[in-house]
Amino acid sequence: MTWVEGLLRYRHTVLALLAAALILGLQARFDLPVQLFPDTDPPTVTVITEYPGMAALDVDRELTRLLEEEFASLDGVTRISSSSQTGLSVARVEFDYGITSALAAVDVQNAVGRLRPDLPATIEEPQILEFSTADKPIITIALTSDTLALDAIREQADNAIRERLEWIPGVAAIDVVGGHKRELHVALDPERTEALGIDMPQVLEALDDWNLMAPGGRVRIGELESVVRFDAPLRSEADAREIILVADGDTRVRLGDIARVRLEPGEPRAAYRHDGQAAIAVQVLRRDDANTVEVAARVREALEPLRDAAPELNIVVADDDSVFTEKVIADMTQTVMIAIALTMVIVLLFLADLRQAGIIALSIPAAFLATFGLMQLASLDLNMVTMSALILAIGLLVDDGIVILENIHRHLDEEGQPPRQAAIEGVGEVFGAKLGGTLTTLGVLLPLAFMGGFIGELFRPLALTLAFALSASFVMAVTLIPLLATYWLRPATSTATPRWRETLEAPARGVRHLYLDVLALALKRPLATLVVAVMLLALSLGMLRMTGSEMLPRFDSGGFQVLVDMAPGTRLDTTLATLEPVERYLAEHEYVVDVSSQFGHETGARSMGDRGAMGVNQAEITVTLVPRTQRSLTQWEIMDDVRQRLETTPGVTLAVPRELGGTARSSTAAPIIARISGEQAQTLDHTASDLLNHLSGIPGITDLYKDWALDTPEVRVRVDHDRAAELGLTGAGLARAVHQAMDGAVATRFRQPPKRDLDVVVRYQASDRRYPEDLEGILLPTREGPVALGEVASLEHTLGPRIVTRENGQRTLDILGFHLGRPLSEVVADVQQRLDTFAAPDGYPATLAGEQADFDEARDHMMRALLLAALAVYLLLVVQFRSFAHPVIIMTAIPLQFIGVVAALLIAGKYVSMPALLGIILLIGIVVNNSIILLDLARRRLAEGLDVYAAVTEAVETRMRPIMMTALSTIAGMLPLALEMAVGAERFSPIATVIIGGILAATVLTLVVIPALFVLLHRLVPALHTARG
Amino acid sequence: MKASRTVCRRRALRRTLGLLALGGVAIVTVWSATDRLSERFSPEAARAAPPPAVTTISAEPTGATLYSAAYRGSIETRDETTVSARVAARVLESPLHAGDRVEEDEVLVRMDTDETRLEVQQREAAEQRLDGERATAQRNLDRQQDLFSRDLIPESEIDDARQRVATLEAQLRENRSALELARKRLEYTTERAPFTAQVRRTHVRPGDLATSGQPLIELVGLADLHAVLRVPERDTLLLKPGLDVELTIPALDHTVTSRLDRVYPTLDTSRRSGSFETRLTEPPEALRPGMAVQARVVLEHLDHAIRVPAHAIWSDAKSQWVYRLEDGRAYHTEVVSRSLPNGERAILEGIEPGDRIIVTPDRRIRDGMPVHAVDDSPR
Repeated sequence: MTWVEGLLRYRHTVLALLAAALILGLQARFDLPVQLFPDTDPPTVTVITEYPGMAALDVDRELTRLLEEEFASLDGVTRISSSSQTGLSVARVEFDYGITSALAAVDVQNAVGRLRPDLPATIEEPQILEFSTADKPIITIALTSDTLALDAIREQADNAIRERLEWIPGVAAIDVVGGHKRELHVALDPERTEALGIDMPQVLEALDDWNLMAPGGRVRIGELESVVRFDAPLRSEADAREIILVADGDTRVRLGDIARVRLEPGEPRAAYRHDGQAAIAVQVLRRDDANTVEVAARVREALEPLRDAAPELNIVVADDDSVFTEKVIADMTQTVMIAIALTMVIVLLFLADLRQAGIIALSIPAAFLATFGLMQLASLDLNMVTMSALILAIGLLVDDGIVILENIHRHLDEEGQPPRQAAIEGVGEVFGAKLGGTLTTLGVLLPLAFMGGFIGELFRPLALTLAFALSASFVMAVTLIPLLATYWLRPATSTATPRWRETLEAPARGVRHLYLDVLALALKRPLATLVVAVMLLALSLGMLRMTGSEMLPRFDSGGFQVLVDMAPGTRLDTTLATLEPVERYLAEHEYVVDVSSQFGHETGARSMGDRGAMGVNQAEITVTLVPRTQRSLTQWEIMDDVRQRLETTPGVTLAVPRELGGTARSSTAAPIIARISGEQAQTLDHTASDLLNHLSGIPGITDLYKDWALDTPEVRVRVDHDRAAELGLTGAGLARAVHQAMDGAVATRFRQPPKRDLDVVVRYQASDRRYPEDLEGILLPTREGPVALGEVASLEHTLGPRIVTRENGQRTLDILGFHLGRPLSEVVADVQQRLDTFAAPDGYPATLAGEQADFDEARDHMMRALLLAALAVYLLLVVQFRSFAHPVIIMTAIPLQFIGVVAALLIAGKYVSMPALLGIILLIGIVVNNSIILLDLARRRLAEGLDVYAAVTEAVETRMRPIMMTALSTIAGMLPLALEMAVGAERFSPIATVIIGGILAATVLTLVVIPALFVLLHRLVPALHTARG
Repeated sequence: MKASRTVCRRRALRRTLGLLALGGVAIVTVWSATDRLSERFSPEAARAAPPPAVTTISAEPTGATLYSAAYRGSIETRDETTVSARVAARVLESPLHAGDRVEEDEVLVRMDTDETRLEVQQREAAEQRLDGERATAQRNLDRQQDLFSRDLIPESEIDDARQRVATLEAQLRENRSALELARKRLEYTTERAPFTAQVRRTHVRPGDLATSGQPLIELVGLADLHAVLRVPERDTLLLKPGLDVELTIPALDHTVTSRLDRVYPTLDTSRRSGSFETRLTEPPEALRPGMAVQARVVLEHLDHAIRVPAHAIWSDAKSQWVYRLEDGRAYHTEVVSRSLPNGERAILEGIEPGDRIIVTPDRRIRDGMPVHAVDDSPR
């Protein structure tokens, strides 16, 4: 019993199974999680440790370095990077893809535990987070109000809103930004405290002592027992004011006598603005394993009740990653439809039969639904990559159907068999060949699915989706199509060709004749043909080397971020005032949807961007544009406009607009990174400045800047040891006193249930801690009475680093750069050339990191995949042809594709990139199919005794139609992707471009060069003929 | 024949069309390739970094005052006294309390006088008695002399009578002194204010037994109030009598200008701080000794200084400079400047009136670098 006989006998079972698969597929389509990109970030654990009051270099030396050394010994660690800033250490540990972030976090937690006794005593408890602090919040909610002050809004954000959102599954953390957090502020008047002989520690202690909540044990009352409690916490400003600091005879000194006590917004070190208007931002960070679109949808849903509960608040979603994702998926779905329509037009034109076209049309959604089902089983999701794979699949998945249907139709029409018989024989004849063809393509996809590394993570979903689609299409071609054909196909009623078909066939015939003419010419001069082909190939390969390359094509995501630095040391209000006009300009821009700006770093916030916690002189402006299809300016033009505006703003020292998703890996900060490593901060800074000058002027680099420098104003307090000792002061005590006076100390917590506790902060009143002379006037308690700092220390103005970074245990300083107009490879080549001529001091090597390093790694993986794919195809062909030599001829088509690939890339104005390389690999599986069909027939005719010319000519004549048809349908299917009709399609369009070019070239050349080679080989090696015979 | 010609013509047409199509593709490809190659070998030059945008201010000479650092100290007075008990007695009356004002000679404390008064009375009585006895003895002596002149009695009797008078006179004198002393002690039971003052503290309450020498009440005179301020060791050299002092009394929220009267010659060894004194010519009503004061000494008045925000001045270990804007470029100009309060500095030398000084603290600015001056910001 043949396959189709069995199929027909058990058709009910088969149809039921198919129906079940389709229903499951349909359900899967709606259940599949949606995201923009596959999750290619390696499992990352971040350790944030606060080290209050310490300078960046000290944090680096005493804390971060120790943590790094401990983490280096953990299993599966691939990269450790860290940054140290004033009072803050952030260490980021990346693990192998095989390790789950939860397990990695446990390892890191244990490592911190082991190290804890060796760490400085004054650090806060290290926070271990299962995500990277460089991750952008997935959704930012801006809160404003017409009636409430910002601190009141902030209080609501910190309580009701935060609480509601933290409960949402998938939310890792909520950061509230906008430095208006309230505190119970005790502003000491240093004159009064001195006059009354009170010092700061006394105040701190009194506040803590009288914010009373303590246990008192148990007492028996009759047969019952009661708990004894001291419950007299501070409940109001007045309570705090009444605290007695000194009681001497009748005299009482109360806190209110020496300080202003108020519940008020704390000193802002961060601010947020939405569309240029001051607001409070609530930022949602997702868990590493959660889905952006789902979490964002839940967050948006949760906002509704919050809006109802607080009508005085304007709750606006200012930045939502999922909007773009949804737009991309919707656009790509539309592209899928267009691709299907185009393919169907080609099919209809070639088959010229509505019934046949109808059967093919039915098989496409069926194959798709089955693909969705398989994707769900493999836990894939719908993203740019898998959607691109689906678009690519359309062109390929009709192939099997067309060939099988045509064969059935031939049996039905030309041999006059009944439909059932036609189906049995039609399928039987090509079943093996089609299975072979499908296996060849799958053989190419297999190495792609297991490439490893970042690129493997990126392309595995694509390879799997394509594999699923092709397998599904094969299954549909051998099940659904014969079944439908049996019932639907009827032999042609008349032999006369309809007029419309005649009109269409004329040019096709023209092409065919032209082809045969060319073939005749080629077969007459096979050597010359080969030489021309080889020359073309050499030219193309040469051109391929000359044309630039990039990791991933840039895409107009409609969103960018502007990193702004004001002169180091600029105060927050100056930064805010300076940038306001630019924000307003952007907010009023016709193509701008939202402008969301963050200034400085909110203490405790976990999302920091990849510049580390920002200083108050720094800002990040996130701009969301309308989709690229709805504007006449590209994102890069708008970015350049913003850059120019900022460059003419006094005080702005750095303005770098970066497209979101500008680098392929989110952990790579910029496409171009020149990294200097070394130990001395001063030498690093100096070398980096030299290198920066050395690198400037390279064409195509838009922004070039150092990630840190010794440029932040510092006032160093040089303590006179003798004087301090004479007065009984210690260095640490002195520093603590100064820190408490200037920056404040948290004395205790102000409880206000059910709301969150607030800090009770004691510091000098604002007017006494503004200028250096105020610093000199800070009173230090000594046994001789209070002494001003100026009496025991002198001040020195110097410069220090804002942040210090390390990479895999080495202190580093990165020079980051972005490029525009020129492909990355060329810019990087220039950078490398200049690096080679750069005289770096000994022990301070400058190396190239960034996107290029990722690209090199990815290219290695892809080259390996390419070779493995070619090997797999060869081995499959050896099995199929039972010959070691013929597969070589067949595979000659593979290099020929490069001619088309290069031409297509040049015409489309695209560069070699990872997707283009992927296209080249996929082409291996596609182009050999033509050769297979061609040589299969030629060999058969040869075996039947025809001479080699006749055999080849017949093979070309007979096989030309199906070859053209599959090629054209594939091209039609891929055209919408190549034309980048969907938003976001730019990323993977080179796959389609390359495949279209490759298929065109391979098709044309397969039909000319392969026969010529075949003839030539037969002429040169007659043994081939005889051996096979 | 005709058919074969048609076939031939068709073939030629096909070939032409085919060649045209192929040629078209080839031309587009070659054109793109040339484009790409020219892009590679002669790329568009990198955009030059734009000159930093800066704001400037015009140098305008104005008056400026150079102050010392802020010093701390307190209000002191020279009239201070503690009134102590001169006799041991029970306190009867102590009408004053801390803060009360007393005029000169006003009663401060009244003590029990019973004992001293009785003693005075006793002495007065004794005086009367002794006086009587002395008169009798005198009369006796007169009589004895008369008798002796008539040789009625021997001389020794006159001598006895004379001795008796002399003894009684001595006793009388002694008693008088004792009486005087008792009267004084009586007077000591009432303590009076030595000068117009305020009571700082009272040590006794009515009923207390005050012993001699025990403090009863402390008084502070409110005339001649002056401020004594502590100065770090190294600042003592800057100060000379005659300088103006801006004195702030935080408790009263009061600021007055006074004159530095004297710099104390020695330093306090424990704190290594010197001190100076300045008298308040018109002290505010509520001013009290012991109040905290803060003072800045006016070191110098400058008539033609150029005031700039402190961040406009750059400095290293050797020099200070500003960047001057001239013809669209920044020029490094060394200056001499002094610190003013509230984040300003005064340029004393190096800048001419009317020069434009760059006030944007941009570290990229170098000598001779082109800069882009944006609308001058008001200072």
